[in-house]
Amino acid sequence: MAYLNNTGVETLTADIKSYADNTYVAKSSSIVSSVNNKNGTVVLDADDVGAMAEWDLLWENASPTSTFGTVDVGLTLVNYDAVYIIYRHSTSNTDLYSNIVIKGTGTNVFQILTPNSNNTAWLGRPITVTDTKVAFEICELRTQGTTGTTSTRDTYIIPILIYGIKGVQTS
Amino acid sequence: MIYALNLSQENRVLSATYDKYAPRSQPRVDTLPEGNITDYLYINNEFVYDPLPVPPEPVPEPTAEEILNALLGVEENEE
Repeated sequence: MAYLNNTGVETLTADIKSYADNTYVAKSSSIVSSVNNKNGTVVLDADDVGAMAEWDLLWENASPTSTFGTVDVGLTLVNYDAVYIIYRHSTSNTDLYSNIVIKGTGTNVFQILTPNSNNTAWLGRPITVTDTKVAFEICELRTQGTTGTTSTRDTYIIPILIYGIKGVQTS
Repeated sequence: MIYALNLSQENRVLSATYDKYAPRSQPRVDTLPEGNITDYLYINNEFVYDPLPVPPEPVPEPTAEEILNALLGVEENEE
């Protein structure tokens, strides 16, 4: 096993094991560092691939205070198993939350707004992931209480970062 | 900073990301409009302000209990 660090210097297997010595947590820590700063490249042999995941930042929202409706984000996901998406609560609220979506499936991001029995409201934004895109549908606000409503709200659940994940078991 | 625009078929700005994350087919710009970028169309390499109309507030849907009460002829606040 070898990897290139963030200055492009190859580190040999022996060097990694000198401080990691088959402790995958330690190895993963060094690899995560190089992946996160986007300047390093990780090269693993087959025995190691199953033991740790790798992820790459693939997309960043350049205008997170803008509304976000039904939007297809075109990405090349052939080599990834899943995506990890981070959202801000709304265009005006920077609270963050996240989810992982396995490629080839869909899910729905939910956020409960008023968790009480008399006036519960929640937000949901359906998402599907394929080899070529992450498809976001518009966010819906649903309420249930003395009266129930459903309405679209493109100011909530704003995706801000999408990571591609590979090296994870999905079946 | 260079931005890439994700446009609808009507050339409305749907989202924006940074140059390095977008396919070459997406148009590039040096600056984004102030405020909500989805209020703009991008036509002939220019942003055109064209906000979508604000949708009306939804009419509350009756709950199952209200529907049942209506079917049974039960008035609201009736004991």
